[in-house]
Amino acid sequence: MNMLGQTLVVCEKEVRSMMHNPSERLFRLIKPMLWLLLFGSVIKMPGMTSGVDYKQFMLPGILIHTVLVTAIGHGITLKWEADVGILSRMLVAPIRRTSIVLGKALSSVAKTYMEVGVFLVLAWILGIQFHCDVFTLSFTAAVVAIFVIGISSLGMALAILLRTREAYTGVVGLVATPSLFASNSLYSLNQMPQWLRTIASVNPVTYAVDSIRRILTYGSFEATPILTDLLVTVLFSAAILACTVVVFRRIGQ
Amino acid sequence: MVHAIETQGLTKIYGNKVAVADSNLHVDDREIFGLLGPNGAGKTTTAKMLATLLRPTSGRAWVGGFDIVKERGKIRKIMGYLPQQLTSDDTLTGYENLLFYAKLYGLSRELREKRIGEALGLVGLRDSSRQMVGTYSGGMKRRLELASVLVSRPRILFLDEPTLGLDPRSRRLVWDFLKDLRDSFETTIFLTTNYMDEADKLCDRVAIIDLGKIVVDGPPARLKESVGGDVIALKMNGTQTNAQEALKSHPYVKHVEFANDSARLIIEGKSGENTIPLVLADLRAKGVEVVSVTLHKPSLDDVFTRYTGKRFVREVAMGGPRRMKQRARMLRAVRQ
Repeated sequence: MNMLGQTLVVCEKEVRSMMHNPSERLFRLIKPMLWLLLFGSVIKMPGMTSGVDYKQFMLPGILIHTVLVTAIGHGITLKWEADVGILSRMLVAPIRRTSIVLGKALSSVAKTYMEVGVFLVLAWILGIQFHCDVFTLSFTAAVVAIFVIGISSLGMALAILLRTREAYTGVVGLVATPSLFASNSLYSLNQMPQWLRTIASVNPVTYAVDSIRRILTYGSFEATPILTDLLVTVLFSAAILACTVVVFRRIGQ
Repeated sequence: MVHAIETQGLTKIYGNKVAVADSNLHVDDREIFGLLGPNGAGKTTTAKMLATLLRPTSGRAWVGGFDIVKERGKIRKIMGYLPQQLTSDDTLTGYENLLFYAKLYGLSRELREKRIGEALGLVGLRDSSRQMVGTYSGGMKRRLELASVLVSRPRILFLDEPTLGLDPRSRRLVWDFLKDLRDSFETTIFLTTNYMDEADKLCDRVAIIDLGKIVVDGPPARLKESVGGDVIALKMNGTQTNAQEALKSHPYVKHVEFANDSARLIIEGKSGENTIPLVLADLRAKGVEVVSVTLHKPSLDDVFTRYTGKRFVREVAMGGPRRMKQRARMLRAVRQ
């Protein structure tokens, strides 16, 4: 069996498990919807959102934050698999460890797609406008996939490296919330004090949000900034993925 | 001949704790081999190293003739490994669990369906194969795991505490299953256990491990012989001198210890059960009335004591898996 085949086997298992309980995923959407409705309704930033409503402005930010929380939480599934011995059985099966990481990252993409789909439908029902055509949606899907592969790999590496579940949840908390605030998710970079802008400009969330915001919110096709955003996101995810593969290869060494 | 499993000076050191020290053992093809020892003796560490899950600190080992460090990929193709925990995935159905392992081992579609069907029938789970494993009992989960072994059909199988926490009936099912597996598919089975009776009744050969060291190995019967023959304890009415006379020249009584009205007879050359009637007849002939007889046959417990100088104190097994289940349930709740 080749690596792609192995990857799909690992992915299929998780997708099947998700299909047995789809409603659990949808409950996760309550929180981001509250963000949009409550936070988005109160905050007004005239002149800072370049002519769109604030809810429209924050939509990509909340979208990326939602998939980040789901993707990084993939580590908890892995921790559970390690505790009950499923991971050991996968590690001694005749498959590459790269396939295990890739398969799990891919299943994380599947999970987040389901959320993104429902999220956008709900946003549309709530009257939050965004550009909705095949290209825009495919582009958004691609950015989400690249970003989620990186973040879920990060979650998996943390799950392997941190011994206890408590340590893992602690570190994930340290990643998830600050990455929302220290990014362009809720406000544009030029509203920030210099120190925060510096942090935000090295935060990969900023690039994923920026690319989706340009296309989905503004319908802009300015090539240079979009390609820069994409390049940063790809490099970030590839680097994390590579590190996670190394972490997996070292298990038991 | 190449052994199915062989270790030479296999050692694992964690920090400054020696988990496995200079282990030398071999397992032949189609053998059921048991590594017996108390908790923390190094059984799991040994199994993990052989199953390519853990790299040894020093020493070498071969599984199916392949080096456990340099040829892990080749070993993984011919080997199966079941860890201590119940590894069936609760969030899938029984069938899906088996499907996953069938695919993981690269079985073709036809072979997959055929083997899964057979395996489910053999472990008696055909009717519950479409149910979520979360609804299974502990025994059913263990059977599902064994079914997954039948699906991939390894040449060499490693099992870490295969019956830990199972009820007596499930344990017997597992034993029968493993014997059938060996007989039908010529599987070599390496298992760890801290149950004396499991080592005794299931295994062809046993190695006793304590504090990371293998202290003795051999077939259970021979190990038990090595600590001495059966012992008959008698309580008597009558004079000791008469009894002494009756027992002195008895062909199977190797040694007699007297204490007041009781005697301990160490038997050699014949089983205790068969010697009792002879001894009783001889005593009666000398006018000694026997009040009670107890027969003690040496157990692996005695073997353990003899070779380690300690009693084999096994932790009450129930605490372990129950804690494990609680933890799994807790994690599941968090996961959702």
